[in-house]
Amino acid sequence: MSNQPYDFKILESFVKKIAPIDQHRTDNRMMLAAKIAEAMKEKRISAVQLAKTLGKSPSVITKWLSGTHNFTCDTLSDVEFVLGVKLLQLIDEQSIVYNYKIIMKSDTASKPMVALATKAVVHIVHKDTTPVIAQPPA
Amino acid sequence: MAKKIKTVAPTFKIQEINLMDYRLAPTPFAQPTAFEFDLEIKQLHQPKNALSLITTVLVIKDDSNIICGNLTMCCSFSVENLSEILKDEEHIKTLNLMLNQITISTARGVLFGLFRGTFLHNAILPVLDEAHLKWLPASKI
Repeated sequence: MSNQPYDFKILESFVKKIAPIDQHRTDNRMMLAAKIAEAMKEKRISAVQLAKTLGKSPSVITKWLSGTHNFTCDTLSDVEFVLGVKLLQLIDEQSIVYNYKIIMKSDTASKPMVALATKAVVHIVHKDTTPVIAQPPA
Repeated sequence: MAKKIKTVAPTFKIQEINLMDYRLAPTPFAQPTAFEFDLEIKQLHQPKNALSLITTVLVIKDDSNIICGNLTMCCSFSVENLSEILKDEEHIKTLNLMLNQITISTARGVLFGLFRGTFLHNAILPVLDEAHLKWLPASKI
């Protein structure tokens, strides 16, 4: 094996030619690929299984994992959903999310306007722990 | 002497209403007489931007539990004193209820505008009345 030192000048000249914005894009693509690969490993999902779940061909998943793919927002959203990993950091860490589930019933046959009140049953889930029910008025 | 709790009235204004999706099922043979409205409301509070985003997913079912239509919309509110409100659970509850009521009222109007003249003309989204609310364990939902 040769002990000659490597000449990094050529490499450096190439790197210098890369615009910062392009470098940023490449970094993000690589990071996304790494995050997906890590999530697949954690969930023990193979590329074939992921492809099947998302309705894609396995070669598409291979391309995703190569770090060269330009993902669409929908694709990232689907991958997030399937793998349970955060790829799109849209929510600020300081943000607070409340989820409510409300079920209301109305009987328009008797009195259309009473859709406002009769038989109204409301279930609310507050912060996933404290739900609420609304009773019809007496 | 009991410590007085400072009440903070939410100061907010509606910024945007975005209709994201809606669908109407084919007209059934028999006109439904009763409707069920399944609402899923997600409230996202961003104190950094003094902004609250409320996403509403509404599914309308008839008395046979068949889906007649659906609506997805998002309302954004700028809440001036959001950071202050988010410090207290009671204040949050008040704000959330107010935003829910406004969002549901908005959805009621949007729904009527979209489905006017169809078989869902009379499917009027009921009013969410604070007086008739009581808490339930999550397992019952």
